[in-house]
Parts: sequence; C-alpha cells; structure tokens
Amino acid sequence: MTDEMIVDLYFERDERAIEETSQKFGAYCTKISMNILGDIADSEECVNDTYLQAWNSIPPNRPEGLAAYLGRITRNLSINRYRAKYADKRAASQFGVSLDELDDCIPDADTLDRNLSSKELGALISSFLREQTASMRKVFVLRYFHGESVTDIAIRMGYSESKVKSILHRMRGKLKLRLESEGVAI
Amino acid sequence: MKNELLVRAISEIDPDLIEEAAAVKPAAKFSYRKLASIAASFVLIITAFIVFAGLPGNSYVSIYGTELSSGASVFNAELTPSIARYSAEETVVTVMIPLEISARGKTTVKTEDENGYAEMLDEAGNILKCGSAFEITENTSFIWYINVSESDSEKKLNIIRENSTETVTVKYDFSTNTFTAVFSE
Repeated sequence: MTDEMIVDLYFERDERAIEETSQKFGAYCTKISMNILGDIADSEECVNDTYLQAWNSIPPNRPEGLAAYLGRITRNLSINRYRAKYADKRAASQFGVSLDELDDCIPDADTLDRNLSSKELGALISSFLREQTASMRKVFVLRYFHGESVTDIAIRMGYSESKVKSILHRMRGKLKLRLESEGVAI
Repeated sequence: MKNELLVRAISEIDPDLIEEAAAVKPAAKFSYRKLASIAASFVLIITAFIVFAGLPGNSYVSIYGTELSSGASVFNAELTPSIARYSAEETVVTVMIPLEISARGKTTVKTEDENGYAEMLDEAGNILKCGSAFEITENTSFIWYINVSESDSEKKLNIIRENSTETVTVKYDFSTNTFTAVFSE
C-alpha cells in the first residue's frame, strides 16, 4: 500500500490506517525509538503513542512523506520519555552520546540574541544540510535525527568508523560557524 | 539542557532529508564466508568438468587401441595397395592409420599436408566425414591415410582446440614396413 493510500485511510477515519502504518513503518519507528531509549518496552509504548498521535493529527495534516512524519513524532515522543526517565543523568545510550556531541554545535558568543523557534532553527539546519554533500548530509541525519550509532552508520554507508567520526566532527564545526554567522542564540 | 533547542530543531528538518538518510541501505561488505562459498562452488564446477570431460588440453589418442605418448610407438603398417602409386623417381605408398581420438569439446582434426586425407567412420564402417580437416566433438574413430615415399616419409596430423594444438607425428619405415607414432602437445 502506498503512503498516499494510507493517508487516505486516515482521512476516511478507517482504523486499517493504524494497521497499515504499523506494517509498513513499525520497524522504522521502533528503531528510532530504540536508538534513543535503548529499551524495547519503552520503545514499543512510544511507537504505539506515535500511531495515536498520527491518528489525531491526520487530518488536518496531510504529510507528504509519511515515514519522515512518523519518524519525527516517534523521535519527539522518545526524547520526552528519555528526558523524563533520565532527568538527572544521561543514560549511556547512543542518544546520550549524541547529545554530548551536539554541544559542539552551540555557538560560543554570548552576544548572540537571535532567538528562533525549533521550527525556524530546523529550517536553518535544513538549509545548512542542503549545502553539504549528500553523503555528509546522510551521515549527519542518521546520527542526529535517527540516533544511529557510529558503528551502524559506518556499516550502512560502507565507511570506516573513524571516517564517520571525522565527518560528524567536521559537520558539527561547520554548523556551529553557520549558527554563529546567523547570530542564533541557543 | 543547553542543546535542548537544537535537539528539538533537528526533529523539524525537512522530510526529504530524513527520508534520504533512511533510504540508505547497508553497503555490501566483503565477506570471507561468501568468498569461501564462491570458491567451493568454483572447485565443484571444475571437478565436475574434469570428471565428465577430462582435463583440458590432454587428448587421448590411440592407434590400434594403443594409447600414444610422447615416446615413439611402433606399429606394423597396413598398406592400401589399391591406391598405392608409383612416380618416376620413387615408390609412393599409402599407409592406413586407424586413429581414435577423445575430443574435449569442439575439436578440429587437420592433416598438416594440404593434400592429406582422413575418413571418419561410424561403427558399421560408413564414412561420416572426410577430407584434410573436419570437426569432431566426442570420441571419434577415423582412418588417416598418408602417402609416403623414401624422401617424404613423415606426416603430421594436428588436433586443434580453442587454445591448444596437439600433434600426432607418423614416420613410415620402408625397410620394415612399420611406422612409429608420437603424440606431442
């Protein structure tokens, strides 16, 4: 079943939409959640919540890319759960490590005062990513959106782990400079 | 948390960028196990080929049922008087050489002498093919006729395959009415 057909089921309020979503995107969403939480029970709950949120938000939304739409919901729900669960300390999950890495992207200057919403900042990051090569972009998104480990990215991309680390390091540095040049305060 | 906004913002990146990354399939990895299975299959195929078709480049050639080798084998000659000829200078006789060749795939048998002649026969003795050159594809019996004289007593027959040529060399001895045959690659 195509993504459009599944979205149509949501619009028709047909409960098969959930079943089809689960069949087609269940594994994808579970992987994202597992990368963040590292716990299958928590991940399954997040994925079920994802279906519920999709049911409640389509309509009115009509996502162009259903995978990305569901992935985004799963990611946000999993981050919420991660924050609640590890309020005081960071878990030793891949996500915890990637959070530490993202500190490198935060601009140094204290005088930056351009406050953006997460949506606006997301658009800026998208624009930054489009200026990079496709392979560098993929490595970045796999790491910081999908929460994949460096090892998994290396296998998927056919690179060595050190090459993946090097790409991520350079990308973080570039993103930091870009945010500083835009005057973004984080 | 300092990077909270950044973490949330990454959730908001364009859908096509998310799907582009998600579509990356694991790259093909070099696998020793895969290589080993390919090698094993290759060995099996070669073994089967050798068992059923014999080693390439190594024909089996026999005369009167005796396998020829690189050493000389001596045979009593059987002449065919009906086609023996006499020239002004010397006697020319025709020696009949019954050959059996095990062909390895597509093989051409060709007399070195352009005027040479051979006949491929079936079990009943009927002529299937004849001439100075013809193709054989399996174990084949045929008769090679050589016209020899005192001054020209050595004749050659080439067994030609795709990448190799083997030769049967026959030398007739008028004094003993025998011929020696040598098989060489």
